[in-house]
Amino acid sequence: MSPSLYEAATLDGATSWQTFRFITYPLLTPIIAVVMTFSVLFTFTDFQLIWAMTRGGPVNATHLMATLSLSARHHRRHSLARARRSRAR
Amino acid sequence: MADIALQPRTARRQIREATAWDQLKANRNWLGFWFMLPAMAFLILFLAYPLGLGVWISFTDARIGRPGQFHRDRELRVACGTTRSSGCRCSTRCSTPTVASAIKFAIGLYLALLLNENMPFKAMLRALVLIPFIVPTVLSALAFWWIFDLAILDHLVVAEADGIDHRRISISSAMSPGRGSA
Repeated sequence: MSPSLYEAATLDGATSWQTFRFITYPLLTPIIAVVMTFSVLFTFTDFQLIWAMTRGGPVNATHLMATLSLSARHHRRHSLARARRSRAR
Repeated sequence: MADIALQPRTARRQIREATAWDQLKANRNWLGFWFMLPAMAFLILFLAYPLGLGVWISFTDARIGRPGQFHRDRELRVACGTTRSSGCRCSTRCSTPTVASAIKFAIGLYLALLLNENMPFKAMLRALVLIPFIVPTVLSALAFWWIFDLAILDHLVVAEADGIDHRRISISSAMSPGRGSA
């Protein structure tokens, strides 16, 4: 980003928030769009981080699609096994 | 004869109206589309398609090497947690990554602005920030888990008090019940 823009803003008496809001942020918008697209995609499809840290807990609060899918499989398999056992009795 | 000598060997082309195809060939946006196409194909093939497929498979009973079937009632029952008393997980699977993305954006932007400032050891600090990205995700997740589960942060922040087990009031105590509860 060109330093002349910040110099002009300082000369115009802009505050640091106004400098960010009207110079830095608009110039960063294209980069932010690309980065956020990738970030959202990778966050939605993440698995290892959640599974290694919380396994979807506490009380399923940190489940993502992949972790929920796997835990639903476990749950279903255990339910089926339980049903088979109770039927056998 | 003189006419023949003066005539050019090939007749000049007649000037004709530009067709739609001619206009399209000169259109910069059309050219831009073709330059963007490989990147678009890559993103659709390796990011958007697996994401969509993952959502679809999560609603079916597919297994490796065996296509699944969509059981609307059962899958929604499992997904919405009505089979267990654990709250609605339908919203969780969207709200968790959405909130996480928003927090990542806020912290990331702040960190980027901070690291853009002129300061001593700027290059070294930038390199330190990038270290987690070269470590495999699972290892960094395990490091975070140890930090939380062994209550390293709590011991650093909160002083030891007699008779109080800090793990009971720690971040880890909030995280730990989640392990294995899924």
